[in-house]
Amino acid sequence: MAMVNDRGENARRPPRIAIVGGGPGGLFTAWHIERLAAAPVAITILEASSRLGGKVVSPRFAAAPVRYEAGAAELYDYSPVGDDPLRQLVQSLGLPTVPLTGASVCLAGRRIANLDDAQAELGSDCRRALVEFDAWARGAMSPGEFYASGSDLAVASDATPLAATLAGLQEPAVRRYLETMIHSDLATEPAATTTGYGLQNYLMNDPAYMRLYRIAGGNEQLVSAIAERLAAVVRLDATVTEITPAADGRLAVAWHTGGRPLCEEFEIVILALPIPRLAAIAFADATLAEAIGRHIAHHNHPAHYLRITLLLDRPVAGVPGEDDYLMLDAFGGACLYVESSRDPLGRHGVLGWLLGGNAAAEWANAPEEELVAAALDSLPEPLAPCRGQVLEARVHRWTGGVSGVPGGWHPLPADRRHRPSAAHSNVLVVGDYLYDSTLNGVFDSAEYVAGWVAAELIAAQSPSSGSL
Amino acid sequence: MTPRASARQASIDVLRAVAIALMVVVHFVENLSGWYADATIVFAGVHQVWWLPTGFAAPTFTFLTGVSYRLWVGVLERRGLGQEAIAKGTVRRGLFLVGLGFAFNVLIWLPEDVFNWDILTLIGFGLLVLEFARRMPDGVVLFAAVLVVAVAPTLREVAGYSEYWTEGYYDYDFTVSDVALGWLVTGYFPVFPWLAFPLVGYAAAPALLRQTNQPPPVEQAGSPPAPTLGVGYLAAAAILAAAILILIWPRLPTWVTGHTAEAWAMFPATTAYVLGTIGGISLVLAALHRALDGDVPRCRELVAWATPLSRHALSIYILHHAVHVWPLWAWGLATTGDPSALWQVAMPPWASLSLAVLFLAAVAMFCRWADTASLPTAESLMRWICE
Amino acid sequence: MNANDRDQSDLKPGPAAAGGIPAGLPGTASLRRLPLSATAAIDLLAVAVEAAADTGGPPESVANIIREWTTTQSLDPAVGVSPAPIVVPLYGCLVAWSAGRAAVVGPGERLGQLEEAVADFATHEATLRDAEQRATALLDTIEADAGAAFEIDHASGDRRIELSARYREAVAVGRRLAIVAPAVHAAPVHPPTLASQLGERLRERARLVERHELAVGRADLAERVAEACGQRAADSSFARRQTGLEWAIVVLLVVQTALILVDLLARRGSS
Repeated sequence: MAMVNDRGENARRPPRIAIVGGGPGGLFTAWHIERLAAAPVAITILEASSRLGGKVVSPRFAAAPVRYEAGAAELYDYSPVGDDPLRQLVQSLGLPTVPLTGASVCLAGRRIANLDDAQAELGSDCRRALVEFDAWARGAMSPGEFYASGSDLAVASDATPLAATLAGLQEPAVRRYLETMIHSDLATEPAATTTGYGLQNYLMNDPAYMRLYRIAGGNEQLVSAIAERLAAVVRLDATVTEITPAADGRLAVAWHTGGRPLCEEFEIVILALPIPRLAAIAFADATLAEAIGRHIAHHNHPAHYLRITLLLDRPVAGVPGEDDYLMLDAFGGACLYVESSRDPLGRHGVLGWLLGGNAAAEWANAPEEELVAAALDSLPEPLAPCRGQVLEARVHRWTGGVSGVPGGWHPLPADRRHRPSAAHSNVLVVGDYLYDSTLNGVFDSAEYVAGWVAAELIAAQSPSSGSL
Repeated sequence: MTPRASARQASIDVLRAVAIALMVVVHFVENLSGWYADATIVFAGVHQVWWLPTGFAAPTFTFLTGVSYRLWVGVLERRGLGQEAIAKGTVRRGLFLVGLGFAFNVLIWLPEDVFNWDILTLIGFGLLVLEFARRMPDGVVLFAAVLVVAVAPTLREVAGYSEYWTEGYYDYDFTVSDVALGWLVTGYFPVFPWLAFPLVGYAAAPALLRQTNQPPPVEQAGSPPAPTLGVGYLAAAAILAAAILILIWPRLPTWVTGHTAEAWAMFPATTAYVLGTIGGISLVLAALHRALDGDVPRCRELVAWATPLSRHALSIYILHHAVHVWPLWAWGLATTGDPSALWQVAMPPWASLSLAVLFLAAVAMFCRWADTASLPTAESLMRWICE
Repeated sequence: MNANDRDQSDLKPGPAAAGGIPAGLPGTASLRRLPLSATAAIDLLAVAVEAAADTGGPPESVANIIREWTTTQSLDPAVGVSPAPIVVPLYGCLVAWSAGRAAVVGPGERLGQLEEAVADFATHEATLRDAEQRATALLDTIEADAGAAFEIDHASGDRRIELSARYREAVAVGRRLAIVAPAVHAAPVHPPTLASQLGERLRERARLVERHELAVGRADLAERVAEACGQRAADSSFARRQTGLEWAIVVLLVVQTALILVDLLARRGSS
């Protein structure tokens, strides 16, 4: 059944599309649809919060007009391996980018930044083991496979639990080193995810596979730039509560704004929500509700992040090797971002901790003071002076904010991923959890859905189409 | 050393001044004493005034016409003058000289001598040909000169050259065919082979005078200028060819000799004569160029006297004829009723030579004064008409 | 000479470089002249010192001396004015580099790797800088040659030797840039070593990639212009030969016409 099935007086009106969720998924979807559609479309974005952007947020401190990353800290640059449409979009929007590099892993106060450090701190056997592991990892997943992971073209990756693979390493120090290196990116525990997913998070540190970058001035500029260029109607503080079938195949979307209930009908509804928010919507149609329920069940593997960001009264000194981030063995493996590292004119320093997995969940309920104290305690020795320089602290909790990839889990084909109910072809889903829980992943998801929608719209508007 | 936009080449001025001196001496002595019989003093007669350097002035003048034209065009191009303007100037000068040549023949000689195709008409026609030659590669110009020299004997044979010459003088009928043949082959200075002189002069100028079109290489600035060695070899080869031709002349076929008994002759201009004079003039000019031209002026006094003479060569040509021929006609007419009664028998050679020297001295001083006093001359008349 | 051509003997103690070891450095400091190519060399100062516990790097006094020493103009007249030095703090070490001078400070067991990395980088940078300068010199002539690249006249034909030399120079510069390209565009090594990290930092800070691209662009432009000039000169030469042939035919026809004319006139005159 076509998405758009309209004849008669509504045939000449632009198709109405509702995008539920104003995060990166919703914005990317609207962006793609507006560019791919061959005819005008009327898009409405319904966002429950008071801002667009979702997990991409770059707020300012109150003590000083300094921005920091509260959500997605970096973007992934796949251009060494293949097309990177997200990077191309960033460049086309004219947003300046800054590369991010970081090679240091701090274990028990010892810094290991390269193989020479590994030999000096851990011994020749550990150095050899690291080299062997790296060779094995690169042999297990080529840059092309890495690039295709998460897509329909992905080769079935190793579904063995990551913890089992790491346990096979002879040297405990090497295990610890690798766990520390990848833990914050996993957002889950090695026991709860696959070796394939773990390999991806290890190989993302290899410049031959991927590089990291951020947008100068805050990653939120990406979503802002997109939002500025959309023709879509944006309704903030609009919490969608129910989706009900309406006449002629349309869907009635009910939401409330400031307590006031509203409802509109749309030809297509795209749900660009994280799993918890998706689960909060009621679907009047039993078939649709069941399909959404299965969709949620299949993809609900919540993983957690917690961000602690500190504003310092002076630029950060003593960063070994001028790294933009370090891996600490504190919190089970956390990433310490030196957010002010590439701002030579800044008068303040910004340090950001990214906790993942169980640590994020455990510390999620801790008081802020306790979190900040623990973070400062975890600073390696060269950064110890920063402990007395804190002006302001901010904590952002992303509990269940991403999806982990559990062992034995297999992704669905792309069509089924994005359209949970074959009987409801005009209900589509977009999300980073459908891919790799990254901004690139949600970009791919949005592009997939938008292409589908655009093709259906073209078909519906064709004079020979049976749907008209 | 900066490129010379308007400076004259001292070597050309000196060579032209020498040619003027030769011309004046030869014409004075020949025309006034050519057949003066005074066995006690000197042998008279054209071939008996053995010390008279006949046959070198005309080749020098016509050769230098080509060389000077190359320099002149280069100067105009560096000044930014367009090709059309240069062409106009060339054609006008050529036609002026042709007309002046006709007028000269009528006024100095006789009206019936108007189409005797003297040197002025040849130089004028030569300029018109050079206007086309400057569009050709130098190699083609040289090729044309070689052809002109090579076919001249055959043309003389076909035209019956000897039938137009009586006792050493050119005599023709006032018919279109005779006039045209005289211009091409049988006159005093016909196109074939005399056109070769200005053509070779034009083509060889860049090699003879390195500063013709471009400044010298930096590393050579300040050192004496040097013509290319190739020119020297070619000139020597031409002289050698002339010598060989002279040696084997009796054994050569008539299409080469044109039934001319002597290998070295000016009338008609034999192949050996043309090759020998071109080669010799080239070598002399090259030597003078090395000796006199360059950053540091050399032989300033000599150049100071030679330059005004060279600048007024045309005026001197006309004037020296008037100075020695008109009195000859007048005295002959007055004494015998026949203007040509005293032709070549007016005085002994020493007297005519003395007159020639006196004339040269007077005209040299006159020319220096004429420049400063801006007196009208044939050259100023030409510039006034042609520019 | 490229990095691979230098043998290990270059890194062994050699003759002292001019200027001497700056005062204030520990006794472990050594200074020597490291040849980079047949014409280029660099003064390499090595100081073995343990990292300070508080800063994680060399003592500030040593670091200041090193910075000042590399800021001082190189004594090598071939180097000319030295660009601003690049200072790279790197995991307990400190490396400072400017054209003609370089200093490595760190634990003794790390100095060898750092010197090797600096020598490699300096070699490639010197090669690139030489090619850059030559490419820039070629750029100055492009405007003068542009006319000859469009059309060429007789006077320009005499410039064939000069234009030929320019083309060969452009190709030579392009060749040097092609030789140094793999080193300039070398992909980061993973897992990294201290030497590879230093090399990447130095290449990034010296903007070798951007400079290489700019130099390649200039060399390409100069080569295209010189090639066009050569093509025009060849075309002109060919056209002149063709023109010469045509004029020679014209001359022959004129002479033939003169021959026929003389024959006609002679017959007419005699009839």
